[in-house]
Amino acid sequence: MEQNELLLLEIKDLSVSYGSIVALREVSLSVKKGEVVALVGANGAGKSTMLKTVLGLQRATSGSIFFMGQEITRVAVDRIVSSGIVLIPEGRGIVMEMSVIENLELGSYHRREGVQRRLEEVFHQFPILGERREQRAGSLSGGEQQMLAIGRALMGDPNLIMMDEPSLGLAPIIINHLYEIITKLKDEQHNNILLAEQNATKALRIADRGYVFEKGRIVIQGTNQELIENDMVRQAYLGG
Amino acid sequence: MEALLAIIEAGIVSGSIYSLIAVGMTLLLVVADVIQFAYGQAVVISIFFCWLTLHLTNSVVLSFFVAAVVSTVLQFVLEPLLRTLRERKLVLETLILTIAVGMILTEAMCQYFNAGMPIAFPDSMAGGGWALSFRLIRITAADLYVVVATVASLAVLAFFLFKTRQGKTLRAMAYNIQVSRLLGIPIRKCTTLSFVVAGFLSALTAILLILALGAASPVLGENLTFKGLAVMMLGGMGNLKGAVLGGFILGLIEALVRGYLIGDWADAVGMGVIMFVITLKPAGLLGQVKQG
Amino acid sequence: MFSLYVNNLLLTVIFFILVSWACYLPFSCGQLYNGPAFCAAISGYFAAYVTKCFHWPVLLGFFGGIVLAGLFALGLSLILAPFTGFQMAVATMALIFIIQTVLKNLDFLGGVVGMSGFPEIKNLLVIGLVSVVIVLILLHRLHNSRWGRAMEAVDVDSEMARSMGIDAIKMSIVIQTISGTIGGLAGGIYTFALGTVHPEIFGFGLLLYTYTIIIVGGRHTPWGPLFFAPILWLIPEFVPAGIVKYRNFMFGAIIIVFLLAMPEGVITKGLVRRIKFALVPKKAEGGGWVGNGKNT
Repeated sequence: MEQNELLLLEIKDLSVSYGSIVALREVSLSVKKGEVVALVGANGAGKSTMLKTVLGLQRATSGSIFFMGQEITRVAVDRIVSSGIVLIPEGRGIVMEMSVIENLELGSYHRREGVQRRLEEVFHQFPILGERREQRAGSLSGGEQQMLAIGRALMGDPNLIMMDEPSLGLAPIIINHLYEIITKLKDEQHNNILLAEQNATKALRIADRGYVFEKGRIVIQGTNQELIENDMVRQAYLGG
Repeated sequence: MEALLAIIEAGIVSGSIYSLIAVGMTLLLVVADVIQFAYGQAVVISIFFCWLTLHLTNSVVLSFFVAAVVSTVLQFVLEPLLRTLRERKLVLETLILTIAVGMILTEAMCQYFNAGMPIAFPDSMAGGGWALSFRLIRITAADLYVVVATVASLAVLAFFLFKTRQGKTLRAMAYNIQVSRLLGIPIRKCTTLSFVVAGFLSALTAILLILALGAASPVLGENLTFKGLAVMMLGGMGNLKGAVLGGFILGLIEALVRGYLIGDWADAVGMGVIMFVITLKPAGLLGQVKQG
Repeated sequence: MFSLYVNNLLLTVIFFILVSWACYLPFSCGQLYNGPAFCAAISGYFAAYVTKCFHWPVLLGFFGGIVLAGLFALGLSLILAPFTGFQMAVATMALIFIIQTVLKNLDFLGGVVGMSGFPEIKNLLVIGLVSVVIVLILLHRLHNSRWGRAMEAVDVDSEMARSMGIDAIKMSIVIQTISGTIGGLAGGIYTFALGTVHPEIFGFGLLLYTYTIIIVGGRHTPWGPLFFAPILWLIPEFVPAGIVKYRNFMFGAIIIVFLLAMPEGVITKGLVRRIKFALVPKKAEGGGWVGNGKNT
């Protein structure tokens, strides 16, 4: 029972199908309080589907998902978000036509107290967003949009931040910067992060634990150290 | 010269009404993804209910109140009907549903109120009596109410959409519904909200029409819906500013045609001009926001 | 051959079948195209005018009207090609309205009252029946061809269809031209059946009937309008006068009920397939119907 209380997110035997295509087969994983967990694997392996199903965007065919002890398997998206889970989707999911500050405000839809304070914190952490606060979000560069997406996630004061392919489409220098930010989120702000990445090298370096996905199943799991030293992982995902 | 000014004045008044209608319809399009072919009919049938109340109770206040309530309720009541079709992505069927509702409303007006004859309101409700006259130019109290109310309500709407949390949420939904869902925005509730806002606009339009026209006929509803749609296309589908601009442009065109051409050409010329502009610029004057 | 009453009744039913088919065709590729209504008006008015005022031979006027309607639809389709779904629906409705207004204001075409007194077509019923058969064959062939499948794809998801290489613009032009021509055919038949033509005939009331027929009858197959045009037209003829007044109401209500409960209509694709299968089970020999046990 105590084990359960330390588990922020617990997923048991989750299966998800799109019509006749099976995206996830009886996947089980967990995220403990204070952890950063990485999901690695090739494109289409099921990592994105996993995150979307947790958020409620995709319906689970079978299995269950528990968040902070409560079952959220077939709960509506808005209730899941208001209970403290946010997803930064692949491609950032910024509303291009609205301004930077409006995008940030959208992130606090379910957390209306202290919006001003959190805005200031976000601007402090990402000064460039503060400089461009009235600008149209679509005019930001890829890296800046990623920061906006993270800032927006933080505006919701989340208990769990899920990121889907955050480094996709970004230049290596920006990716480094991005991971510095994620490291800061982990070390200084103690955010819980569930990260899905094709870029296994980066992801495993900052994660505490990881799961390797292949064709909708988890094939290997362990601490980041174990995974980095694992031969198969090294060959397939870490470039030998 | 004064003839032209008088025409422009008339154009601004009718343009205000068209803008209100187009804005209400645009709101429903961008947030709820619905083209409301029954919008004008809902507005006009509430005018008919107002007339009925007036004849039953002789109370002006109550009659206006009934107009407002019926109007709001009619817009709002359609939301659950449309929701099932929308969620199944049946686009054509959604269009036909609102067309069918519009036809039923028109039919109701043709059969049940005053045996299908046009209705008229006493002067106390239309025009309000006084008017400013300067040779050919005549600005009635009603004209002023219409223009002032339109400007005021558009300002309030703009404030709502750009300065309040709920309004910004509706805009986010209009721009990107997937992202809105992912942010945990309650889509259904917000869609309903947009119907309520459209309902309020509709109620205001009904009252202003009573003031401005002092009369209504069963086919007025279809006519207004049509023009609302044409204005939306002119300004750019889903473009709120375009809806306002387009509304005034149509109002002015019609006034000019009525002033200078003999025969009942105003409606057809207005439509024709809009179609011509669309042919040259299919996205409308200010560009579309929503793919149709 | 038949009494005048039955003759006119049949011709009216034929008119509705043809007009419904004309609207059904663009529906099948996801377009709400109201062309048939004004094409019918153009065809009818043209035929009436040239046979009455210029003394053209009746059949020449009749076919001339149809050709004119077809050309109009073709020209229009070139302009409408880039329009999106909503714009198409609204633009074609606007055109109905504009053309009605033009007709009402042109005195040489009779204005609001319209025209009458143009010559009859003998054997109009034969022409009507032949038209129905020809159009039915055309639609059936289309439905079961590569085109038909492409149209279905565009109907279900036009973005995806386009990315699969389907030329939606060419489809739009061809379908609208055919649709307008069938509409013209219907209009010509109806005009000569009635012996008179005026602006209100081909207006929004017609649209209401047509949509009801298509939605109730079956939106995905040509058999739907074929069977339900007569049903929906004939029922009011045999119903007590008191209820007939409510016809438009009922049609509107029926559309709404069907859209919510049975959007595919009564005669669905599945139903047609089952009936075909039951009627033609032994195609195995040389035809290659897998799985009915008769294959060697």
